[in-house]
Order: sequence, then C-alpha cells, then structure tokens
Amino acid sequence: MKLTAIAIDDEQVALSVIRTHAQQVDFLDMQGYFTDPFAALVYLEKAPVDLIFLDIKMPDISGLELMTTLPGGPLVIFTTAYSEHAVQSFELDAVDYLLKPFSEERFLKSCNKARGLLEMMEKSARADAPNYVMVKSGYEQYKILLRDILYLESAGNYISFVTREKKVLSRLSMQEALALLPQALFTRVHRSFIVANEKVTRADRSSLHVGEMVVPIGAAYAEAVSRMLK
Amino acid sequence: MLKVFSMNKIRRTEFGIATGIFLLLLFSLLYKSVAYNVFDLQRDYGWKFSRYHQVFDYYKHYLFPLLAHIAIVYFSFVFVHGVVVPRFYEKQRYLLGGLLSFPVLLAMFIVILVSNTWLYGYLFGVYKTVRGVHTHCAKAAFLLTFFYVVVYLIYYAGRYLFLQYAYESLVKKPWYRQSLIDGAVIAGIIGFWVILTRGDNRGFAMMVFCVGIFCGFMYFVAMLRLYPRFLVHRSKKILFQEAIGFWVISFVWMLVVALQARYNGGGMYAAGMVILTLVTGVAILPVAWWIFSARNERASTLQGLRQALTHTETGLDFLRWQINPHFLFNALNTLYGTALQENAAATGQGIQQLGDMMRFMLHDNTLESIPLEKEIAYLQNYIALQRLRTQGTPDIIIDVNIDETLCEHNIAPMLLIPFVENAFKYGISQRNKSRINLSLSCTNDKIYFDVYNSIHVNRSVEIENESMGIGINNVRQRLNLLYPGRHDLNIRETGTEFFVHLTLVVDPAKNDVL
Repeated sequence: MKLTAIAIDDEQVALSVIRTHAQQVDFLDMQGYFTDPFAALVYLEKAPVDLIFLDIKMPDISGLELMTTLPGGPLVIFTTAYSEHAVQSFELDAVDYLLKPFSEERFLKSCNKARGLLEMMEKSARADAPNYVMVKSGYEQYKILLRDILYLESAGNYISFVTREKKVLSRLSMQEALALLPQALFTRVHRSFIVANEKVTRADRSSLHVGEMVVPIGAAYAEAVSRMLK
Repeated sequence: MLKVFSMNKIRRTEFGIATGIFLLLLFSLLYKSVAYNVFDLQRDYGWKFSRYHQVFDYYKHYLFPLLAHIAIVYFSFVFVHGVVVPRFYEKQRYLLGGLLSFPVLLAMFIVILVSNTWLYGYLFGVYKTVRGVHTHCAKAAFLLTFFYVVVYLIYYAGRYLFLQYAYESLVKKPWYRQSLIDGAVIAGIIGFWVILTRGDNRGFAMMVFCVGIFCGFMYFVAMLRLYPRFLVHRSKKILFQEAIGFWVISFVWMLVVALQARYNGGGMYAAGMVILTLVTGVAILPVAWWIFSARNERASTLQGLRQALTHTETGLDFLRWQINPHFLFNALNTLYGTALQENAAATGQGIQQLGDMMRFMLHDNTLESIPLEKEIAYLQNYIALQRLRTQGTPDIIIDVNIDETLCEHNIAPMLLIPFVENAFKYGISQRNKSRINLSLSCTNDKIYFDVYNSIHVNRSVEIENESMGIGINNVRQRLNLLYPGRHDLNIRETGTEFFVHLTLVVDPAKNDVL
C-alpha cells in the first residue's frame, strides 16, 4: 500500500530535508512540496492526499490553523523547530510531530505510524469489517460491539469507550481511536469526543445528548456535526 | 485532605509524646520508693490516714492506686485515639464507635473508682458507712472521667483545627521544624524536672522549675549565639570564654533564686540546686551542639545546592535569552538540509545529533524527571560526536555497551551525563593509548551504570583540582538529595585509571497498565 503525501514548509531547505528522507521510504508517494500554504490548499481541493507534513510556524498562517481547514481530512505530521508546548496541546490531532532537525530513522518512525493508522482506517471502513472492536486496557483485551458504543471521551493519553453498561479505558490517541471505528457510523464532534451517530437523541447548537451524557460540540467540528445530523 | 502518610506520622508523634509522659509519670512515682525510706514516705503521704486513725500502707494506699489511675488513662487514650477515632468516628461509623467507647469509659470509671477507694482510704474514718465512702469515690471518679473526656475533646478539636487550617502551610516552612525541635527539647527539660518533683514540697518544685528554665535559657543561648558565632570566628578559645561567661551570669542569677528559695524552704535545696545546675549546664551544651551541627549541615548542603542551581539557571536563562530557540533549530535544520544536499552524510548526522543535544539541554534538562531513554539518547549523541572527534586515531578505544531493554524508568536528568563528560574530558589523549568503557543496564527497579576510563599522567594533577571535583560532587549531592538511601555511588581512582559505578534504585518501570 502506498501513501500519497505532500509537504508544506515556508523554507525550501526544510522541504529538501523531507525530500531526501522521503526517498528512502518506499511506501511514501510524495505528490508535491509547497512553500506557500495557500497553493497547497488549492492543490488539495483537486487532489486529496493521505498524509501531510506540515510546518507549524509559517509567516502567513500557522500549521495549527491550517490543519483545521484541510479538505479531505488527511493525516498530519507536524514538523517544527521549537514549539513543543503548542504541539503537545494539539498532539491528539496529529499523527506525530517531528522536531527539526530530525533524523531519517525518526522520520521513518512517523511514516510507519501514519501507515499503521491508515491501514486500520481502511480495515474498519470495509463492508466485511467485524461488528466489534478489540480494545486493549492494561494487559487485557476487551471486545466491544460497535452498536453498544455510546461515545468515546479522551482524557490525557487515554480514551474511554463508553457503553451503556461499562467504560473501558485504553491508551490510545484520538487519531488511533477514530481509525479503529468505521467512519460512516461515528463522528468526531469535539477535540475530546467521538459519538456514535445513531445514539444521538437530541441536539442543540452547542451540545448533543447521548444517553445520559451531554457532549459539547467543538467549533472546529460544527460542520461535521451538521453533516451527521442531516 | 491530608495524605495518609503525614497522618500516620502525626499519630506516631502523638503516641510517642503520650508514651513519654506516661513513662515519666511512672518514673516519678517509682523513683520515690527507691530513693526514700519507706518510713519517710509513710510520714509524707500517710498523715491524713493517721489523723483519721487508719492504717497506711505506702504501696496499697498510694503507689498502686496511682499507677492504676495513670495506666488506665494512658491505655484509654491509646485505644480511643489509635483505634476508635480513626477507624470508626472519622469514617462516619458513629454507632460502632459509640458502642466501643462506652466500655472504655466504663472501664476508666471503674478503675478510677476502685483506685480512689484505696487512695482516699482514710475516708473510711470520716464517713460512718462504707457506702458513704463508695458514693464519695464514685462521684469523684465520675467527675474525673468526665473531665478526661472533655480534655480529650478539647485536644481533638484543637488538633482538628490545626491540621485543617494551619498544618499544611506550616509544614513546608523550615522554621516550623526548627521551632518544633527547640520547643520539644525545652518542654522535655522543664517537663522532666517538673514531673520529677510532682507533689513534693512547693519551694523545692519552684526551684527545680527554675532549673528547667535555666536549662532552656542555656539551650537558646547556645543555639542562637554561641554556636552561630563560633561558625564565624572558628576559635575554640572564644567559644569557651563565651560559654563560661554566659554560664556564670545565669548561675549568679540562679544563686539569687536559690537564696530566695532558702527563705521559703530548707537551705539544703540551694546546694542541690547548684549541683543540678552544674549537671544540666554541662549536659545541655553538648546536646545543643549536636542539634545545631546537624541542622547546620543540612542548611549548608541546601545552600550549596541552591547556589549551584541559581548559578546554572541564570546561566541557562542567559543562554536562552541570547539564542532564540526557534532561530537556533531552524538554523541547524538549514545546515542539516544543506549538508544532505551536498551528500555530506556524516556532517548532516553530526548537525542533527547536535540539535537533539541542544534541545535536551534547553528543555529536558530543566525538568524534574525525564524518561531514562532521553538521557540515554543524549549520551549516545554525545558519544557519537566525540567519536567524530577521535576518528582516525586507532589508539583511542571507546567501548559503549548500553542495554536499553527494561530501561523504562523515569530519572532526574543529568545524573549520568557528567560522568561520561568527565571520562571524555580526562580519559582521551591524542598521543597516548586511551580507553573508555561505558555500560548501562536496567532491571525492573534498578539502573546499573559503569564508566571506566584511562587517565593520562600529565592530566592527573588537574583531576585532583577543582574542575572535575565540582561536576562529580554536584552529582553526589543531588543523589543524596533526590535518591537518599536509594543509590550506591562507587568511585575508585588509581594513577592511571578511573572507575565509576552507580546503582540507582528507582520506581518500577511504568507500563501501559492503568
């Protein structure tokens, strides 16, 4: 399986580092390198990709802002010089972040992570995908039926899978949790929440009712929510 | 709410104090029967009995009843405060707690009642009936039991308020600990003398109380004046002179008190007091010295560390101020990219490793604890860069053996690095044969770290000097502070070789288990 990708960075040399590293990764299919983020947006409108290498600090728009407007919802790997704190707060939304100057091994590790996620997503999206997920919690594996899940909530490095009967806490990122679930049945409605579409009983402008729980809607996810409610 | 740990500590202290008071009381009771003639005691404690024509037995009518009284109060306190209150009342199990406290109160009442009938045995000569005596003692016992309950409740309320509102903010203040120790020492001295003379002649008690105050005074003088000044002038002669001076002044004052006591009580007390003063004056100074030097050592260690820390931090802040990290890493990345474009792989790798090291120094280094793998990554980058420097010199052998399996612990940063830096600083010579061996491995709760390096003769003088000492001493101090009793640092040095062995006991590795 090949991953299509582009890289966005305001510095040409930084892009050349990615180009050099990417040549060594055989499953990576680089479609383009952009110093202008807006040109990249235009490109993505026409030809969506799987993965984007995105610099955070750019003159016109920050990578963090850009990420929320990316069409097609690709996976993102941040590349940054020194804004670890900003990145860590956004960690849940990114596959990984690479600190410049990064080595080839480190680059490969990120790419493998992205590939793993993508494979998981494809598997869960297939028609013959199983109607359950296996969730690792501590040393145990829990089998959770998809139709039992009400919502998922993230807390630090953990995600809790909430069903009517129980909660299962697992060490996953939001990205990985999303990849586990079929995209058609679940929607991310907030930085820390994923809900099962058919379990939503009531919705207002700022929140959704799922079972007993009132789940907030994040501003960045309002569009996704309205699509789900249609 | 307070941590369980500190609660236990507080309880232990309370029981320690209670037991101390209990033992002192026992001692003050028992020493009389050892020190004095039984007939004297008959006269001192039995005069009421003889007035009412009752037979007095010192043991039956004085010692045993009082022992029983003290013992029941002590054991009730231990049981109520150690079991009933924490296990039942504080866990809202009021019914069971009430059921348990009732027999305690009953036992206390009965023991006090029975001991009173013996202690006040002369009442049998006062009241016409035995029943009258028993009623009298029952009333007294009831009042006493009630009194003890009220005292305990007041104590508990005060304790609760203290723990709730004052303890947590106080405990962090260094002067709190100090004044606790000072207070305990002085209360101990005065309490000892007071309890020793319990129930004796009032003039004598007064005098002995003054001796207690004198001892406390000497203690304070020693702690606040004699010893601190000694640290400055460092002259034993002056210390000695000052001590004698203070002692003479206070002794003269005590002599006045003693002469006063002579008018109130017997003249022989003055001589006793002089001896007591001498003994305590001589005992207090060494005790005070011991506490003072322990405290001082602690303070100076902390002071040294704090200085080193401020020094490093100002240095680092200065660096951070000078270099905009964003600029630094972007610049390194540009160099890295350029090196890659020029197909200079080794240069590129060196720049990249340098970048990781700079990031470690600017960021991870300032944290309290970091994953061990980060410290190892830094070490490996450092060694790789050093290898670049020694490339092409076959006489330099660098042997690194790091086994990272099981190394999932968190440790304080910069504990291992200084040793490696030293090894390279002093172990490598471009002219002579040099060797550095480094190995690191982990078990579930231990980290083993060994460094061996050759020393070169022309450098060995320098090693004796400051530069190396400071780095390693700093690590040693930090180990004592951060891993007290949980590390083993072994440094051996010969004229040509240097060995370091460090074992760290750390918290078991964190898995992904919740």
